[in-house]
Amino acid sequence: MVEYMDLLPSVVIRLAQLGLTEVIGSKTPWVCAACMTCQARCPKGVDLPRIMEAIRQMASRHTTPPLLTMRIPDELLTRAPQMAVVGALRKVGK
Amino acid sequence: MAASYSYFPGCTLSTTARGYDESGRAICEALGIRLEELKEWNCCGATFPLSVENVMDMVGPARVLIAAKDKEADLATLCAVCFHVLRRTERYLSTHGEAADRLNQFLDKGHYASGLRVRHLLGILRDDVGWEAVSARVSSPLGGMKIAPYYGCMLLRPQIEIDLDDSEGPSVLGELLAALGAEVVPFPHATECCGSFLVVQEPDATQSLSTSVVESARRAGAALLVTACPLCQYNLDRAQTTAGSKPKIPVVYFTQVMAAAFGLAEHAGELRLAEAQR
Repeated sequence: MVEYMDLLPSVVIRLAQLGLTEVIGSKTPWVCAACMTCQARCPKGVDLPRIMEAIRQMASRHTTPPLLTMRIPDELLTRAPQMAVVGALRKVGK
Repeated sequence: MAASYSYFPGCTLSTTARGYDESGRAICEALGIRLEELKEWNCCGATFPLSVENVMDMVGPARVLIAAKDKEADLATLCAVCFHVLRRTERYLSTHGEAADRLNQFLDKGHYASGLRVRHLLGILRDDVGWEAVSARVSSPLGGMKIAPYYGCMLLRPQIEIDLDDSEGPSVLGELLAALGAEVVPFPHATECCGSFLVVQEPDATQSLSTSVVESARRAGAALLVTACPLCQYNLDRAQTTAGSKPKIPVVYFTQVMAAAFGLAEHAGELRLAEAQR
């Protein structure tokens, strides 16, 4: 998943700690599927998925979230389970 | 052993994953487990809101919890995501009275009150029915068929809230498969993410993650992948339709494997195909 992110999750956390607003424009929080693997394995107990969600919400106040219903390809809109469409729209869409 | 549970199928099990719902009901009936579907239910929301202060995002799952609370029985789920969302919502609201009060003000009918147990069928089979009783019902043993148990994310993490199994070394699916007479094939990607809902936003990323899972199971020698999540099933299956020449590893629900072992062939799904290819 990391190869689809522009900043490593650890870098996002460091930038957020330093109060640097460039995390708001990062692609990384929008590629986070909230699988919670990093949270389960973080030796420092950092709740990364929650922080990613907070960044998504802050970013949503300034920009349009990346996923718009009309941009979902027909193949997926008609065949993917609706839990995928509902879940994606609630997490990364509008 | 004949226990009763309320049952929440959820949206996907009522449409694209009908085979999961039907096989689940069939194996429960075979084991004397009574599932009573909630009369009125709505979508659970398909994601748990991690910014929990926003109780509006919990209205959907809370309405399901309210409908189930009237029944005085544990709420059984099959879909791993519904289980995850309902269980975490119940846990959050039952420990945050102020949030529950605020949420109740949004609801036009019904009133959330804590005390409902949200269960996954796998937990019911292990803790209430027991593997011995499952084993005793087997009429067509799987003959050592090599099956890889795939857990994914929602069934396990975060362990402190979900509390079904060890999130880094789960065993419940493996124990079930062993009870059915399969050869359990452990593989390193059993708890890695399939890409989840990102399939509609970043299909390439999901393809890449799901391919890693399938190929990991293939290297371990699996003839079949077993899951408890309709989205994992879709993603792992989809990854193989575009992957090229390698033979397909069917991805089936654990309830379909049970149906096959119980001699309920009409509910065994793609397993029948795999059986024929053996």
